[in-house]
Amino acid sequence: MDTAIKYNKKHISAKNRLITAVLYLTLTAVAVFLIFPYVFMVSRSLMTVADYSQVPVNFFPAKPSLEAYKNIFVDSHYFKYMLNTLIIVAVNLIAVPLSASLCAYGFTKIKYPGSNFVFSLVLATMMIPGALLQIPLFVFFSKLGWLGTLLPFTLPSFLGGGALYIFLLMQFMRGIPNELENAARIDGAGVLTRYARITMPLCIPVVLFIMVSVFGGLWSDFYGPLIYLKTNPASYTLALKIYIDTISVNVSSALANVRMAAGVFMSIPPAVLFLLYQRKLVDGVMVGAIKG
Amino acid sequence: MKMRIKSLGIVLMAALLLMLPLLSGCRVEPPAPNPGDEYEVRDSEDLDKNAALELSIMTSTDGKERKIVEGLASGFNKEFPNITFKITPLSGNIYESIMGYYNANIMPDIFLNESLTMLTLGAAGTLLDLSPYIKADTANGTFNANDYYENFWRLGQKNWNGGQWMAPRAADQVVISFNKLKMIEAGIDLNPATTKVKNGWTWDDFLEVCAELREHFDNTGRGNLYLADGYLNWEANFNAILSSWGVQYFGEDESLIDSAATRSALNMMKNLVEKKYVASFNASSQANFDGGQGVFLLHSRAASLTADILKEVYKTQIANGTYAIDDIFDVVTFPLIGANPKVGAGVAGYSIASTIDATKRDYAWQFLKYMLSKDGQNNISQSGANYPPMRKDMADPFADGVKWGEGMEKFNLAAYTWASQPGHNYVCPTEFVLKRPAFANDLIFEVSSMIGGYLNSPALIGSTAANSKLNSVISDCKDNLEYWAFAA
Amino acid sequence: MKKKTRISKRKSIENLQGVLFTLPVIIGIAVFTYYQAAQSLYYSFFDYNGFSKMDFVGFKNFVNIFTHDKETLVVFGNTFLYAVITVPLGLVLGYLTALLVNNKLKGINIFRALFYLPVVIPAVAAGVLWRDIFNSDYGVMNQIIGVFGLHSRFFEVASSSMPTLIFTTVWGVGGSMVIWLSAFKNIPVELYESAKLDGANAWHRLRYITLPMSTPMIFFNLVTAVIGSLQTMSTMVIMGGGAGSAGKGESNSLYFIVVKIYNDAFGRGGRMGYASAFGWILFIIIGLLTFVLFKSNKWVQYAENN
Repeated sequence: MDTAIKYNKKHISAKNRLITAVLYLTLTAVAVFLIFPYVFMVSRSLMTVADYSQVPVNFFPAKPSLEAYKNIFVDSHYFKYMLNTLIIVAVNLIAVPLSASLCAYGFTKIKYPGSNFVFSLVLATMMIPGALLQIPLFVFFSKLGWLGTLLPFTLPSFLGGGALYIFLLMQFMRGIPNELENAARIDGAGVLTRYARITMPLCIPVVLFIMVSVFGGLWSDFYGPLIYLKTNPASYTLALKIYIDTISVNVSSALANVRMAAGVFMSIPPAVLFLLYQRKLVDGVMVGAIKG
Repeated sequence: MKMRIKSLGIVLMAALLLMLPLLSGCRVEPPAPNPGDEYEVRDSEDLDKNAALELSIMTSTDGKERKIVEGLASGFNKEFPNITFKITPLSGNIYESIMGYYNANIMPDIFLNESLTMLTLGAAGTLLDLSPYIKADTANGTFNANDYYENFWRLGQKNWNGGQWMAPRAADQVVISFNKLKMIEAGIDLNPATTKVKNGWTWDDFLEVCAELREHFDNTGRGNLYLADGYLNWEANFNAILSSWGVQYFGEDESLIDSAATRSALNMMKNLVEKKYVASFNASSQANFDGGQGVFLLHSRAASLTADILKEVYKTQIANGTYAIDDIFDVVTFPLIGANPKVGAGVAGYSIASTIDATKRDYAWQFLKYMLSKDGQNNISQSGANYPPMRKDMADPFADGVKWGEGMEKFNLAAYTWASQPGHNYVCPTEFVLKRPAFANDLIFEVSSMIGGYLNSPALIGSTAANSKLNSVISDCKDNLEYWAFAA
Repeated sequence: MKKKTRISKRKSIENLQGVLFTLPVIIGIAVFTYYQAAQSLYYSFFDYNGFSKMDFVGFKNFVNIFTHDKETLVVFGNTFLYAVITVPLGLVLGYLTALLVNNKLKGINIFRALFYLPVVIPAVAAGVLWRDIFNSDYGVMNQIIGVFGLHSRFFEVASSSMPTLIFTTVWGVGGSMVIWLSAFKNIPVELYESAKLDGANAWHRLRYITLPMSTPMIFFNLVTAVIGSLQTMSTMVIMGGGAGSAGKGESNSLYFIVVKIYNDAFGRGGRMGYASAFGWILFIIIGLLTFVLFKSNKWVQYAENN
């Protein structure tokens, strides 16, 4: 509060001060409301079972305990499942921007007869609900023997990229002056060189945005793994493991603190990533793209 | 951009239509034809005892089931030393796992099954009909289906009356496990000569004990705690209760669930919840029997499993010699309701896949046969859990050569076989699903939802709100049962 | 003459290059999207159980969905109710929070980050959390509203489960907040300044500058939010449940279209043909809604700077 008042020192007036105070008060109230559940989750995860089952509920642990975290890492081997998630994420962080940018480059910088039509086809996939595709894909992957392996989440991404990401990249590439390409072409640069050396370096902001989204999406996805990985516990991703352990079965409250710890653990990487990236996100890479 | 979006629909349809011709001839082929019940079997005597091959078994990898399979495998190896076993894990539900294995053409040879899912999996053609083996081995005198409780044995059959789709592993019936310490603490009479808590006790006895316990709990600051984990949404429990009340689920071409009997049964169950005897079954409210807080558990769980759980809860008192495990809990039969009482039952067991290789098939049957033998049944109790055996000649847990009572001599294990003994014809499988076996689990789910909807409703029995809730859940259930039985 | 062929040759090489660049994605969408969608259309005319049973039934699945299946009405009702409430609610609350953080106070970035943080929490973690907070016996929410003498069973009774679910979406307000913030950013400051000089009050500035200038963003947000909310399945984590009964909620009060498709296809009896037919109905609805939204987008004012 003090700093806020200093900040406004130049326009000292009672009214302004009041407005600032009210604003901060509202901001704080909204922030407390929005953050409260997650603080609560952390606090609950640090409770012992006895502490947890108190009614009325304690907001803070009587004595913080890492019992629940010991359970998830030592007894439930969550790292093993995280490894599966990380493999999927790592492959996709390369594959998705690669295939999406190749495609976007083909559509914007080269353009061939019919490319508009093909683009419509790509864009139209956005409308097809995942629930429609999951059944034939389940059958398809099962016939390939891919169920219970990470292949459904890795190989297709080299051929995918996702309509939205392709669209974003295209909008971004359109903003790059063609003169750069032409100059390089006159210097004898081949098309791959132009893609890799001229266009892609300029697309780094949007590629970063895509990578962050890809990470967020795959890290928390439990539904795809639920369908394609269910038959093989060794292939579970972290999200699926938590889903199966804590949600799909009716577990007793004895494990409630463990569930909370799992939730906290799951939330940390995306939260950290977001905090590192938040300025860019709020600045909105997407904005430019959607205007067109 | 705008224009493009408008033409998207047309483009999409065109693309899909172009794809359609590709599908012609794209029918799903089963991995191997189902041999039906007309296949050649080799006589048990002709089998090579030294045959070396691998059988894959899918089973649940958590808890004791894996240990049971491992125990059975090592017992089986005494006769067939060169057969190895590969255990593939079951996760989630059996149906989904088998669907995945089936389509990928990597079906396990033998897999864990249970009497309801079996109906659906059998209808899908994935289960081997064991009849030819049973016939051949009955003829050569190495197998006799009459060794097993008829009521349980048939739960492994096609529509529970026909070809054998599964060999039941144990004859599970619902019993009540109770925490002796809590009973004694509340002053309940447990003296064998005078106690109400004995095999064959009635529902009224149960309610009287509950009333005493409730009072004690309320007076000792445990007003929030329920007495029993009742699992009233579990078919083995609700079906026994509904059937005891004479509820009929189906007539010829309609559901008869909308009846006075259903209303009485539901009100009786709701009464248990309202009086805080039995926890309703949303995740939050529970008596926490397994945590050493509740008094009763209405379940068929083997006594050795309950013992393991409570040993952990009371580990300090056991370590310092205050209590032995038989001071802590015991079991008693499910209370008898009314003039025509029923006790819930269902079985788990092992099935052979219809896709199994013909050479492995003979040995897979030998494995099931071993599981059903006296030695195999003892093996199950010793390696995993002391489920009540399938065999009638093993009903007495403490008889010579019978191991499922070993080390538990002070427990009332007779409760586990009580309802299936001669003269007590109380065993009650969830028969109504036979109206449409392929949707057995869906039918069960609808009844379970009806019970949940009413028991979880906050309105008190007899109030207008409760009555209208009762009417609506029953009428929904009727519609839904008819949907799955006749329309789906 | 020679020059012309050289040019056309170069052109055709370029065309080939273009095709090659887009080829991976073309193959990808052909194999993993269009072929599969067509396959699903094919299944929808069969009684297909995921195993070998594959009986042609014509339009029976579609007829069944609308005539016999009592769940159809329930899941459509729930899903539309959810969409109709959460989409505008998200837009309005997002707008209000964006207004709140769209000022130059010190430390405003911290508030923006805090407001957005709940959005990045994975669904599974959120599901665990909501189950605990809204538990009727040991949940903290009852303790909080207990201060006002209230008590609710939240997800555990049909009448309060949908309002509770919708309430939880409030925590996702940061998602639409950032979109509004981006929209604000694109409005030239001069517009406001000249409006202020003309004596326009806050309401007028909102009505005649902010809203019209943000229409492309609102529109994009609206389309994706509608498509997204029709496919919601958050109840699978909040309500839990085993296969076939996942995420239905008390008396089906939280049963959504996508969850039903999952349950029909992968739970219990395995009705893959039926579930495929349901999927196609969802697809058609999404297609129609998108079409209607684009038809009615006269109010969207695209910036001319592209």
